[in-house]
Parts: sequence; structure tokens; C-alpha cells
Amino acid sequence: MDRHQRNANRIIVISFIAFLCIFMVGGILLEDKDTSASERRKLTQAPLLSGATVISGKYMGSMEDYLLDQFPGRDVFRVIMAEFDRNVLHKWDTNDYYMADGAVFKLDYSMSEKNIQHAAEKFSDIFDKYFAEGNCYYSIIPDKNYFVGEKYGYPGYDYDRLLDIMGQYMKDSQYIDIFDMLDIDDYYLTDLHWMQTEIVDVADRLAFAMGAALGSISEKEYENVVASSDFMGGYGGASAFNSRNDELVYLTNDIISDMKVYDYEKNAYVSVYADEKAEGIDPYDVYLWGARALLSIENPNAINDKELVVFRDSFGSSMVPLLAQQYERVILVDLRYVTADYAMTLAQPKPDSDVLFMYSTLLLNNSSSMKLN
Amino acid sequence: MLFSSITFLYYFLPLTLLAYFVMPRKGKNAVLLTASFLFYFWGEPKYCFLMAGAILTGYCSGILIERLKGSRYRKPVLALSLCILLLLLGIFKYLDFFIQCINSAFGSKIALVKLALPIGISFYMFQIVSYCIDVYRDEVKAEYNILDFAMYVSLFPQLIAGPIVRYETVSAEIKHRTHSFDKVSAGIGRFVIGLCKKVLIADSFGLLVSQLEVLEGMGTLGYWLIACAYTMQIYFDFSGYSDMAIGLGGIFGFTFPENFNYPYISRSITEFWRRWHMTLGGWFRDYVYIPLGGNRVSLFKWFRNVLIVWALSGLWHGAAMNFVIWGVYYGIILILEKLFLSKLLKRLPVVLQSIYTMLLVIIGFAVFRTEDLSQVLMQLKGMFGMLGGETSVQTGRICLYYLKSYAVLFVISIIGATPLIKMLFSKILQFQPEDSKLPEGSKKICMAAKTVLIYLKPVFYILCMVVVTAYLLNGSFNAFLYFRF
Repeated sequence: MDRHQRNANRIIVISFIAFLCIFMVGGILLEDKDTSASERRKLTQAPLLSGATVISGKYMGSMEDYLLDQFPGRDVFRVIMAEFDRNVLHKWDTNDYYMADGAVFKLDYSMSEKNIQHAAEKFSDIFDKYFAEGNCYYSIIPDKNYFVGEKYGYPGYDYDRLLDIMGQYMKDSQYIDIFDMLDIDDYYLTDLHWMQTEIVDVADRLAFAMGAALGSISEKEYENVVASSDFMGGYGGASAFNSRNDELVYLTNDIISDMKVYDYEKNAYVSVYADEKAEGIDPYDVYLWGARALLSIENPNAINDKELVVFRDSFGSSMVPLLAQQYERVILVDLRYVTADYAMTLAQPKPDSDVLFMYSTLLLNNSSSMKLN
Repeated sequence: MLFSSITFLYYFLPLTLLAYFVMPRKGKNAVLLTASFLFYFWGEPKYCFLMAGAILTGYCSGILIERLKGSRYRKPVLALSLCILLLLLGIFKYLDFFIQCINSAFGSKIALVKLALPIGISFYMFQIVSYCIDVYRDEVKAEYNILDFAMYVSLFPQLIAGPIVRYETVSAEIKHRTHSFDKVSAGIGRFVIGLCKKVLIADSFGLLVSQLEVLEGMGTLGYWLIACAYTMQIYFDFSGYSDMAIGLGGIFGFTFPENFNYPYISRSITEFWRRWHMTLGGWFRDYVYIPLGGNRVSLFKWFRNVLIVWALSGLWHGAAMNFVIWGVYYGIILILEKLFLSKLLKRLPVVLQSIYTMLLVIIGFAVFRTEDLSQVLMQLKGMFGMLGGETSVQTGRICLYYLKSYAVLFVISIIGATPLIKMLFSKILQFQPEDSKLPEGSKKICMAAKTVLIYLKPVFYILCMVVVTAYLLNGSFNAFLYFRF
């Protein structure tokens, strides 16, 4: 064995043991973190040691989870993994996330016709039960895969079939098609949601279909307020891709500023936009305070006494402030957190209210997460 | 504890290495014994006593068998010790399988015992059995130091998934072994490569298999994709583990036997089994096949011997009927090859010989993968387009997507399953200018390449550790497939 080989062997042994020891000591000395901002979840904390947990083996399992979550430099390692998967192994997705045209997407091809049918049937039941005198509308928001999946060879939902099912089971409702008004540039690069600045025309289409004058929303003037100039959306954080962050902007004007939002969970009035949420785990929560079960928006500048009830998911949070300009009152119900019965009891809508079921394809496909029974 | 876990890599291993190398020579075996029991306790706290009982049985049997040399009680003592060991294995691994067989044969309703399978029981029981037989055959001397014997059986690098290390292989190293930077470095290299094989390749294919097997309305492409992915997964999983075990053994001064020798380059099933899980094949040859008479018997008895050995070999892999079928499947192919197929194969081009072998191996692993016999049949029918019913266009698209997504990994794994890279690096690293007939200029370039390669090794290993750690932190790693054996 020559001198170089002997030297290299020494370097291998020393560097390998040093590498292991550095991370061992780092793991022991560094303070544990409570949450992971990029993954938007709580991190596992040190398990309690007891005879029973050791004998049952639970302690060892929990310890491994804890060490995985609290490993020094974990976020950097997550990026390394995602980029290695993408650029070295050339896998088309990593943990079901993929990048195309600089944006991050979630691969989702398992469409459940049963779930979609269940949602449509229950939406019809809700309308029949509470709004016998009103007008019922529904609109479906395509997920990001719709725009690029086929182009880049990623499997996705059968969107035509999804629309067929909805139409079949919501016969008494009017469908407002917005697919043709959206493209991939209307969505954040790192998040699943659409950008409020890009959907004013969509709000106009919805309002016009429900009886407002065309142009009544898009022709108004708005001030663009930058809530976050470095917005890392849910997809960006979960995928750990080295992606460019977004700018999170909300639209406001005198009408929107004057609106009062009643939060039935807090039993208090709140603002339309929650600026303090821009620094939170999910900055998208600036729109109507994020995940809220039941809200009521009162518009003192309304030009009519019309009322709108919107059954919605998180996409609705950025859309409804725009729509609310055309109504005296808008009630927002998120069926993931409250049943329709309880929401109607609390909010007491008019029987002749306009009703809009506005859901993304993602939630319709996972309708089991809604309280529909 | 898994080798591919943060607990092992970043806590257990560095602490064990430090304790081992700081300890004077006399205490090194004690460090390894303590570490090995801690290692087993971490994964199987309750079954530590079972392993301790098996060790005690083997230890006492060895001494008794040796001391009874020339006595008529020697054979009964061996038989008794083997009965105890195999009974323990039978109870903890096969009891429910036997009950199920009885229930289905006689329509009885005997309740299942549902004992959890102790990890590594098949491996350490076989090691103790081989030790007892070897002492009986006077091939090794009995071990009188119980700590050394316990360390041999429980030695954590090979404890739970092999290779099956016979006592005679390491008996000298248990008493006296040398350590050097060169040996430790070689061990680290082998360990890191094994870790990459397991975490980067096997676990990725494992993910692919789990993504595909839940699809409905799958066509021929899907079934073949699953079968090929599983074929790669099981090789890189098990050979990766063996590499890690051999590497760790090397770090601690032991020379473990090789367990795999690029089995997927085989040109016949006979050759495949000379290259796949070599320590198990050797074990069955020496302790079952040859005692039964091997091939020096009548043709009928030889058929019987082969089928017994391969049915047992299948059963060793798991307590389910598909493993027995898998074993007998290979037994039959080996008989056919011995009778006439080998001669026919040799007349074919090499490519066709390889295709023949891999086709049978892939079909074999399709049987091996699924314990539910109806699923086995469905998988095989699916692979050959005999399933009937409608296949989903959407599922076809999804399968095609995954084929494209994993194309590079398939290419890497196919290259990795051949000795090409090893040969290339060996050629460069073993280059000696005085032995070469190259012109002087080329010799200098080769020497420079050799030096660069030598110094790139430490960088490569650390990079591998970084990437492997990144994958482990992703939390998508699987337990080793061979843990269930």
C-alpha cells in the first residue's frame, strides 16, 4: 500500500468518526425546536423515560421520531434530499411534489368519484333545507395540476368527469365556470392557492352570474398592500425544493376597509385582513384570518340589501372580500370546521339569500374532511 | 435498531466506536458484547432473554459435546440441543403457520398464538446450530469463555440479518484480532456503500412498489413494474445490509464471509444461487443437503434431497406457504438445469442466458413478495396478461409516469448490480506503472488519476453520509426486508 493510500485511509477514518460525532454532540447540545416553519408542523419532543415505555418498545420508537425531528440542520438536509432526488436521480416528483416552470406542484391523481358525488349530494341537501327561496350557484376552482400536469406528463384528475358528477348531483344549481379565466400564473409559485391580485376578473364573473353588473368589481380601484415579500407557501415548505419565494399581496379600498367581519368563534368583530398573520406559520392566513369556521361580513357601503352565503374552502378567503363589495352581508361557512346546521342556527341567513358553493377540486376530492353527514 | 436510523448512525455507532477503541485489548470483547445486547434490546427488549437462553443452550451443548467425545451420549446431547434450538425457532417463528396448516387441512379451529417474530431469530439460531454440529464433527473446538461465545452469537453487525457467520470463520478473531487505519477505513467504505444501497436505492424502489400496489385496474406494464422494482429493492436491501454488516465487522477487526456476488449477472439459476445469499446456501449445503446424501445417491433420492433443501430454504425465509412454493420453484428449476437445461442454455447467446435467468428470478420474487396465495396468482396472471377484466387508462398513465420517474434509478441500479464500477475503480486504484506497458505520458496520467481518486474517497464517503442522512430525515426509510426472516 502506498503513502497516498495510507494517508487517505487515515483521513477516511478521522473524517467519518468526526462527522458522526459532530452531529451527535450537536444533537445533544442544541436546544430543541417546537415547530418547523417550513413544514408547518409541531416537532416531536423528547419522550419520557419509564420502565413501561422501555419494555413495550414505545420509548425507542418515540426516541427515533424525536431524533429525526430535532436533528441539527434538518431543514438544510431536507433541501439536499429534495434536490438530489430531482437533479441526480431525476425523479419526476419528490414526496409527491414536483417543480415545473419554477412553481411547485403537488402530484395528486387519485380521484375519488365517491367523495365528489357525496359532496355534491350534500350541497344539494343543504340548499334545499335552508334556502328554499334563494338561488343556488356552484363554482369549482381547478388545482394547479390542471394547468401543467398534462403538458409535462404528470397524471392528474379526470376533470371532465369531476364536472360531470357535480353537474349530475347539483341539478338545481347554476354552475359558474371559471376554468377558462384561470391560468397557472394566477397561482402562487410555492403555494396551492390563487393570488388575490389575479382573480378580480374571476370575482366579476361570479358576481355577474349571480346578478351583479358586469365590471362592477374589476372596474373598482384597489390599493395593493404587500403583506409578505418573502412568502414561502405550503407546497414550497413541504417539498423543500430550492424554489423562489412569492410576494403575498392583498387588495383593499375604501369599501373593503369599511367592512366589518364577525367571527362566530371569537364572538367579536375583526378586520377583513389580518396583517399580523403575515409573520405566522401560514402567511396566507392574512385573508379573513385563515381557517375560520363561520364568519359574517357586513358591508355598510352596500348598494343593495342582498345577502350571499358562501360555502367555501381556503380559496374563498381571498375571493370573498372582493365579492362582498356587491352584497350587504356575506356569510362564509367552512364545512371542515362546522356543520351546516350549526352554522345556519348561528348566522341566521335569509331564506332568499344567494348561495354559492365554491370549492377547489382538491377539497371536493377529499370531501370526507368536511362535516357533511 | 436499524443500521439506517439516526439512533444507530449518530448515537450508537460513534459511542460504540469510541468505547471500543479506547478500551484496552482485553476489554474489547466485553464492549462489543454490551453494545450488541443494547443494540438488540433497543429493538426487541422482551426477546433479549430468548437470545440469552439460546446462547446458554449453545454454550453448554458445545462444551458437553466436546467433553463426551467417544461417549455414546454424544449424539443424543447434540440431538437434544438441536431439538431445543429448533423448537424455540419453531415456536416463535412457525407455530401460527403450523396451526393454520392444521386448521385448513382438518377444518379445525385452533386459535392462533400470534407471537411477535423475534428479529434475527433465524440468523442467530442457525449460527448456534452450526456451531453445535461443527463441535460434534470436531471441526471446531468448543468455546469455554461464555462472554466470547455470547459475543460471537450476538455480535451486532451480523446479528439480525446476517451474513450467517460460522464459528470457525471468526473463532481466531474472537481471541485475537488486529486493528489498523487501513482495515477500519476499508470497513467504513464498505459500510457507507451498503448504507447508500439500502437508503438511496432499495428504499426508493420500496416506495415505488407501495405506490403501485394500491392502484386499481392495473395492466401488464404495472405488474411488471412492481415485479422489477421489487427485484431491485430486495437485492439492494439485502446486499446493502450485508455490505454494512461486513463493513462494521471490518471496523471491529472481523472478517465476515461475503454474502452476495453480483447475482443478477448470472446466466443460470444454478449460478444465481451460487451468488445470492451465499452464507445461507452454504449452510443448507453443509448441514442439510450433504447429510441427506447430496447428489451421491440414486436419481430419485437426489430429487428428494434437492426438494427438501429448497422447501426448507423457502420456509426459512418466512412462515407462509408462498415461501415454500418459492423454494420448491427453485428446487425444480435447479433439477431441470442439472438434468438438461444447462446444456441447452450453454448453446444460447449470453444475452438470452441472462434474460432467461432474470425472468425466472423476477417471477420468483413476485411469488416471494406476496404472502396471500390468491394475490400471488393475480400478480402472475397480471404479468402475463391473463387477468381479464378491464384495465384502467388512468392507471396505465400512472404506471407509465412512474416508469419515467424511476428510469434513472433503474439504470443506476442495473449498473450497480454488475461489477462494472468496482472493476473500473479497482483497475485505476491498482495501477502500478512498473507493471504497465503504457507510454510514459499515459502512465503519469494514470498515476495522477489514481492519486486523485484515492484522495476523493474520503470526500465521497462524507458526501454519501450527507445524502443518506438527508434521506433518513425525510422519514421515508423502511425496515430491512430480511428482518422478517
